[in-house]
Amino acid sequence: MFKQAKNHTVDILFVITLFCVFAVSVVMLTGTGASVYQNIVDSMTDNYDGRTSFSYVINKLHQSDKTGSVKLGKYEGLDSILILEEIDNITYCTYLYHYDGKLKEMFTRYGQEFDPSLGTDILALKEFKATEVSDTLFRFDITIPNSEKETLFVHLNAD
Amino acid sequence: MELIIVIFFFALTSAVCLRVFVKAHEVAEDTKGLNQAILWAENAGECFYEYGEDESKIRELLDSSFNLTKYAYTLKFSSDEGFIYMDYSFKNTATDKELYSFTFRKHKREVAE
Repeated sequence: MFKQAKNHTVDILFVITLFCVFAVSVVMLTGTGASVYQNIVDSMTDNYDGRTSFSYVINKLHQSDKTGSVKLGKYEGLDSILILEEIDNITYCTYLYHYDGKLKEMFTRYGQEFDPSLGTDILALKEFKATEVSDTLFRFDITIPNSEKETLFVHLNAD
Repeated sequence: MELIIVIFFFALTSAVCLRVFVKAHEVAEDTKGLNQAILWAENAGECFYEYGEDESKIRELLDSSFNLTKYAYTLKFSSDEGFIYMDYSFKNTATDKELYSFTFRKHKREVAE
């Protein structure tokens, strides 16, 4: 009788231990899964932000690939891309610049002063540096939040 | 017997789940590498269209700005009667796996102009 009762206790203990092992494993597995998923989402967001900002700058420059229409300059001490276009004999300018942690765009009459905070937000950026390698090749160093610095070269056909 | 089946089933599902997570991590890393590969292919292409046959200028410009430690790129130049070619290849240095390759082509007359 006594022997039977002892076996019964061991059985219960074994089942409880097994349940605890299962529970801990499930929690660990869920934690690992959540961590992997979080990493993937972060990585996707970084990739998306990077590709979008690069594509935006490249396409903006390529669509304005006309002689003398793309210039690099400083506005309020910030690196800016100036894209000039003439509409009804009046020169207008699209400024692409980095202000207050964002890549911004402003379309205005060329030479006219404007408040850089009023530009349209394109993307959040940590750093934006533009360099003219030659008349037809531009270099951009772009840093996206939570990401490393990326370099982008853009070649224009028109001088 | 039931407990053995339960333990076996749990071990099996855990192994499958872990494999899925590992695979997901690998795919995410590959995607990251592929994104870098395409970005640097674009950069190499833009420099190639700027400098054409001037191999040293292209290499100098790209080498000075390439800041990735986990990846490496190679460029091979060749030409025939009408065209010059630049073979671009991007590799993961840890696995030595080629992530992306592309051959850029430019007409010689275009280069001369």
